[in-house]
Amino acid sequence: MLNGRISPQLLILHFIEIEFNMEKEYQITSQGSLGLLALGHVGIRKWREVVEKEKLEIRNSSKENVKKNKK
Amino acid sequence: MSKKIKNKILVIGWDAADWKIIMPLIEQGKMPAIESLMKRGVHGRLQTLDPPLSPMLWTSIATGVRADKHGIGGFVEPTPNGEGLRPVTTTSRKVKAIWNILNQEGWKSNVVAWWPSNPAEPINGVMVSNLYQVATKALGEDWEMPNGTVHPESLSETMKEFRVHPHEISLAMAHPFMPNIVDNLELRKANKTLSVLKTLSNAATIHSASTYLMAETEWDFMAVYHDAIDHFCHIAMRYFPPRRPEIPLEDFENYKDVVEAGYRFHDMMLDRTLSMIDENTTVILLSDHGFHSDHQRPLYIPQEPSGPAVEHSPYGIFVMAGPGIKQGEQISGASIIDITPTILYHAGLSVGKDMEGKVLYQCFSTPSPAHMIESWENVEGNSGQHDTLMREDPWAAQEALQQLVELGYIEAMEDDKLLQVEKSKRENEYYIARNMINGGRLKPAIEILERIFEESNVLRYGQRLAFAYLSKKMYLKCQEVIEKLKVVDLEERTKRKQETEQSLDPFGNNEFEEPMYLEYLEGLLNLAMNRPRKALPLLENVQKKNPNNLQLATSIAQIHTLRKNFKAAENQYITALAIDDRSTAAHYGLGLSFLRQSKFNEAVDEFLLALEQDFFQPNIHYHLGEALVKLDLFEDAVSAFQVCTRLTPGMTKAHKWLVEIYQNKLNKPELAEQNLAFLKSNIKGDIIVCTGVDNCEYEQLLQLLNIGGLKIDYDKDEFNEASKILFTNDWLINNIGKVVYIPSRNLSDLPVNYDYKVIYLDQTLDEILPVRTSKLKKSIPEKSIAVKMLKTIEKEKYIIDLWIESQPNQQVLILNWNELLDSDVEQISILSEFLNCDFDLEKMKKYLHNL
Repeated sequence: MLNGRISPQLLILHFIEIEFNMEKEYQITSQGSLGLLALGHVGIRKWREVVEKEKLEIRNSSKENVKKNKK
Repeated sequence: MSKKIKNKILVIGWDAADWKIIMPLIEQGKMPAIESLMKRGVHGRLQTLDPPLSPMLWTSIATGVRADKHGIGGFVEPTPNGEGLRPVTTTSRKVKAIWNILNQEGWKSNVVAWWPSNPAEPINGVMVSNLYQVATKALGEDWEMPNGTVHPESLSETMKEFRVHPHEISLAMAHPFMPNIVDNLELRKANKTLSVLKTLSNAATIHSASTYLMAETEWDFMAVYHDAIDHFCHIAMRYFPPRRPEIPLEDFENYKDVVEAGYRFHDMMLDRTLSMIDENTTVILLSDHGFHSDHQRPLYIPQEPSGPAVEHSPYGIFVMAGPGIKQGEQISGASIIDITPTILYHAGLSVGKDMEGKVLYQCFSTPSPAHMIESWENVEGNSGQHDTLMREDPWAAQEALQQLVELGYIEAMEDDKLLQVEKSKRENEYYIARNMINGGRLKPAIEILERIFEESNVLRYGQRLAFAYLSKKMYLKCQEVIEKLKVVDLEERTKRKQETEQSLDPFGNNEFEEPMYLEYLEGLLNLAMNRPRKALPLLENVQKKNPNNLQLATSIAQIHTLRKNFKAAENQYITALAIDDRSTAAHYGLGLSFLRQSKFNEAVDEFLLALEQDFFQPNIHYHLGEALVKLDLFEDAVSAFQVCTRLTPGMTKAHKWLVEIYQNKLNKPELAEQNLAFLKSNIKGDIIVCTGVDNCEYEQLLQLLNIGGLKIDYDKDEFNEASKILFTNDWLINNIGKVVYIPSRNLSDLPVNYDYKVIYLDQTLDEILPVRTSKLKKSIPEKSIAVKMLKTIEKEKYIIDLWIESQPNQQVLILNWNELLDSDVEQISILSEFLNCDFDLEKMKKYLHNL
């Protein structure tokens, strides 16, 4: 169906039972989810933190790759 | 006035939300949040206003008045320089909104995205305007907010953070709306898909702003408006299952989940919102209108401004829960203009007498009468309204306009902007005129419509004018407009046919484009003028082409009812209920058909179903009472008539029934006396009604009464006035204490605020048939004609019987003409006693002998 492009955790957050308890650990990915949007400002902040973190990691890893290539 | 805050109030608006979608989703466990809210509060349908256009409606919700009073007429308004258009603004609102009133009373309010709320008003609290969520730049570019988006201005930077850009919506987020989006690259690029994503991002933006304000600010009143359900439905309701034959399978597969996903996402947002309030907060969840989701989905969208509104249905949703509110009950009779009076009442504040809505007392566990004031407009204090006209960023406004163009609500700008402004101004006036008609203000509405139709020859202005004339009983004027419409319509059709011959778009112009309104109008005109025979074929013809039109089915049923053809009326009302089983008019009409066919149990069932939909209908209670009397359920009948008299204190016929039941069935003379006292002070006078089948000997009877000493200003023309009774019954007042002749077909139109003594001149078929045949040239009519005549006479007699039977406390004397002729003075004496007149019996006897 999804060809493995969307993690099962995100599917859980689509429409299946959603606990609006931020203390409970969710695996948030940069794809986000409707569940996160439904959490309102808190969900958006958390999601964007993950997106920014992922962007930073990608940037850092590409920098490292460039360094390695230069070597 | 002191601050009387007891609890917080939270109002959540879901534009276009409809129980027809929500209820099945609740049954499947897919909308648990709204289900829990319904369980701990009351819920019901919320009647919209006409026209069902959101800026107008949401302003009526927030003010308790219609558009001509609040000033928001449509989607757009001219820019201050008059050379362009912009979305409607708060500065155009002429009256205080609920948050302005609360502001004066010391309440702190947050208002998010209400339509319209730009520029944000300087209230004691936060206002985030309806331009807040509109993305004006590409993702990554500096996405500024237009001036006036947030009050206080100091919060603007913080609020920017919570906006979700359409391009941020990920595949994971879009997947529940369009499962094929993951694999189908073409689908991702489609305009419709982008519209879905834009709508989703807007909803998420509004929701985050509201959760932030709920969590981080102090507030007593909060109002949040979501337009996303309306947008999802306009984009994709045509793909909502079941698939209709004209919908391409591929499109159906791609977009069939959009509507359901949209509703479920709103339920998730609601769940979150409810988790942020305590049990002392009152929650009101409502929509401004519904959205057709079944066989009532229109087959075409009219190619005109606000054409998509044809998809709107007349009932939205209403849920109210909180302290002092009943639990788990369904309420009826609520309208969107009742919301502000109800909130004011719940907040312990006075209700303005100038508000058109009512307090929904039925929601409250222990209601007490609301305190009323003349008007909140006269109450001084800081209301948080703008004091000067503010201008907004025209580019941001332009972007919002573009969104309205995309949704089909307004036409794309023409080159000649001034012409466009002129057209839009007229269009707004048209909406306001419709809103006035909806509020019963026909005269000013007609003035507007006459002018704009004259100026523009726009068909729908003329159609609405014809309907307004019809409602005002200006039939000649109505006929004139219909004639003019025929000419304009022909020109338009010819022009449009040439333009669209190659169009293959199922939602473009096709044979359904013409709604057969001319025949429809003519049919209704004939119906109003009591020409059911002419009206019926016209309306039946329109019905063949519009089998799913509820209004048509009920109009045709009304014709059958007028013609006392109750079986045919029953069939049409059943057709109407197959179209919409929530139609109050259809349940009521069906009940009436059953009642007149002596199917009393079935009648009671239908009346109860009608009242379940709308409790505040005195006529339904009245006929329910009548049916219960027939079933000998007198105590229940008394309850029905009592509700009726409470709803319409002047309804004398209900009091008459109460007198009848208390006197003759329940043996409660003191209660009968109370109702009699009411009747004595409200009945305008006694009138003697002479009736019978057509061609009965009523002229001789009147002469007889005159000779006997009863004053009769006998004038044939005047008696012919009776046939006009449908149009005016003012002439009755001149006939108090006198005799009038009323043909059988007009008996049911007699007004109730008179007492009638009825002399029913009963003649046998043998007596009547020769009189009728003598009107024909032939001495002996053909058999078929004779049979037809007999049937007609039988029907007329049936109608009289039916009317007499349905009248409480009616004094009826059945007088047989031949008996009268043969009986010497016996029948004359009976007549004399019945009319309580001291007749000159000798003179009368002599007159009869000479006949």
